Formats: sequence, C-alpha cells, structure tokens
Amino acid sequence: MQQKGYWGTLIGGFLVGTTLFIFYYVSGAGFGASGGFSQASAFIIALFSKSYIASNAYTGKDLGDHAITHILYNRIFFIDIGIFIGGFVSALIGGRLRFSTDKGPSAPTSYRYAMAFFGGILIAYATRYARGCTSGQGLAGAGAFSIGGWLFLFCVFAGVYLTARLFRRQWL
Amino acid sequence: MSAPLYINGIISGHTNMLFSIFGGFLFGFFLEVSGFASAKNITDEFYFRNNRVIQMMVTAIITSTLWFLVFGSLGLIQIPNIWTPNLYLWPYIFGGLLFGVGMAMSGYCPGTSVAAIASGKKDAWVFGLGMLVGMAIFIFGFPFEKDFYVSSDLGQVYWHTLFGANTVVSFIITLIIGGFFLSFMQYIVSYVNKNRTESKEYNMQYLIGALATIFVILVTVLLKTLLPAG
Repeated sequence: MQQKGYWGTLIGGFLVGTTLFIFYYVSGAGFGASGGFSQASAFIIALFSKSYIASNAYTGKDLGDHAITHILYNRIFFIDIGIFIGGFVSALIGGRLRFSTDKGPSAPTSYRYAMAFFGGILIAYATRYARGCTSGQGLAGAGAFSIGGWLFLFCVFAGVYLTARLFRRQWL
Repeated sequence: MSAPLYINGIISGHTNMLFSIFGGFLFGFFLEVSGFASAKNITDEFYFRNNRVIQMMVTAIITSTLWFLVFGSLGLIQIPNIWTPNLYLWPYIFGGLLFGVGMAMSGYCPGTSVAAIASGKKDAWVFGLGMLVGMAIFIFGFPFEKDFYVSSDLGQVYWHTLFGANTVVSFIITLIIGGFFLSFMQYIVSYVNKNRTESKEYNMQYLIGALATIFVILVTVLLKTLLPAG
C-alpha cells in the first residue's frame, strides 16, 4: 500500500483545536486519553478481584455498588473508543493501515518494544499525578486558559529534551 | 441555550457519552491524518527533523482559546462553568517530568498511541500494554502515594483568575507563550539543519530543556507569590 501524504499541521492544529472547543461547548470539559487506560486497568483487575477495586481508595468511587462494567462507563474511555475508530478510519482512507513497527532501520525490534513498554509504564504512572496527559492536561488545559496545562506541557518538554539523547538509538 | 451543554443540564449524561465517542472520533481522525499516529513522526520533533508536533500543538491551543474568546463574548458559552482539573503544583511537576522521560523513551503519548494502535503499529500495542501495567502499579500503590497525590492543591487556576483580569488577557498571554515558543522552535530546527552535527543536536536539546525548566520555575514562583494558599 502506498503511503499518502499527511495533512499540514496548520489545518490539523486548527481542526484539533476546534474539536477541543466543541468538547468544552458540549461536555464542559476537554478531551483526554489517559483516563481510559486507567479505567481499563481497573476493569481488568476487577475481573480478578472486584472487592479489591471496590475497597481501593483510588478506584472505589468508580465502582460503588455497580457491576464491574460500570468502571468502563467513563467519559474518557468513550473518547478513547472514538480515537480508536477515528484513527482506524483515517489510516484506512489514507492507505496507512498495516501491521508495522515504528523504529529506525538499524534499531533492534526487541529494543524498540522494550522502550515502548517501559515508556508506557512511566507515562501511565505520571498521568495520574498530572491528572491527565498531553491531550487531557496539556492541550485541554492550555486551550482553556488553564495555567496547569502550560506548567505540565513545559515539564514534559523539559523531561523529553533532557533525556531524548539516551533514546536516540531507536531511530537510527 | 447556553453552553457548556452537559454541565448546564441541557443534554443528559448518556448523550454526553455518545458525544464523547463522536468527539474522540474527530480527534483520532485529525491526529492520524496529520501523521501523529506514528512514534517516528512524533520523535522527529525531539531530534529536530522537523517542527510539526509543536506547530500542531500551538495551533490547536490558539484555535481553541480563540473560539473561547469569540463564543464567550457572544454570550454563547459560560466560561466560568467549564471544568479543568485542579492544579496540584508538585504532583504536576513530578508527573510532567516523568511523562517527558516516558515520551522520549516510547515516542508516544496516550492519545496518539490509541490512534497508532488502531492503525496497526505494533510498538503502540506494546506501549498500550505498558500503560495498563503502569496504571495498575499506581492503583496498587495508591495507599502509599495518596499523600503526595493530593498535596499542594491550588484549585482551578486560569491566567485571568490569577491576575484578576478577563479572558482577553488570558488569550494574549496564550498567544505570547505559544507564539514565542513556536517561533523559537522554528528557529532551532532550521539552525540544527544547517550543517547538522550530533553535538549541535545535543546542545540544542539541553538548551530547550533548560529553558523549559526556567519557564516551570517562573510559573511556580508566580503561583507561589500570587496565590496565598499555595
């Protein structure tokens, strides 16, 4: 499949910013993504022990007396479903839908997977303290005049640029 | 009919959930179609191959705040009624820095990873698995983390509430920070690409890291000075 060109960042940014505002207009809160992973993780744990999730001070409030599927009745989890469908449709239309691994030509695949896995752990853990990710805290915050959004974004940039050198080998 | 629709009770919780899928669809579509369902394209920013990530982010932020200004001045949205998370100062700084390290490692953030998972990127699947594990670690560790997690709560802080001003001032501040950051990064990317060397790349990474740290310190001092409870 041939890879078609991407849309420009000016139009892409305008559309994402407009989507963000529509979220505020309709829901009164911005978009987000990390919360869905948190709910999914709590749901998986609840499959093994509902009582643990119900008694945990962090997850208990999402469960209450409900069935465990209630954990997934969550605004951000629904947004993640939407992102999944949207990403799928766009990749399909653009001819970019295929199984592949993003990495540099000479980087070992196992190294790339290890970095993706441990990076995922760090990011997930970090989003709980930051109350969101680059979408739900960064863009949604800064796009609604929130100072916390900017503070978070520049902490992310500091973390990224001060350590990017260590992970450069993946992309060579 | 004044927005925000859900918070003002104009639409139901179920409708809001359905809308969330639709809104997420738009977000995921626009991310993928602009090339951000790819860790390679995202990390191009960190190594100065191009400036697309910052261009996209700054444009999105300025667009959204501009809509707030327009709709707010027409009385179509009640800006004080929107929800953003409370600012927990030290947890935000800790979380942001750790997030940055994770993003340099993995090349994804949660939103882009979902779009990448959908488009068949296997490294994004592994990233998603890592996310689930990371969330589980947080949940299991919560009894030990709770004190820090809820510490230094400054409430919902906006530029206009901090300065006792209106949203026009907030928009101007957004424009200044976004505009300056975007132009600075445009300059750095073109500077590195004029006879690129590895050490030049590293030096610029450190420069940006240092400047971002200074920004964080300045905002922290500002918050500590102007908010009595901080």
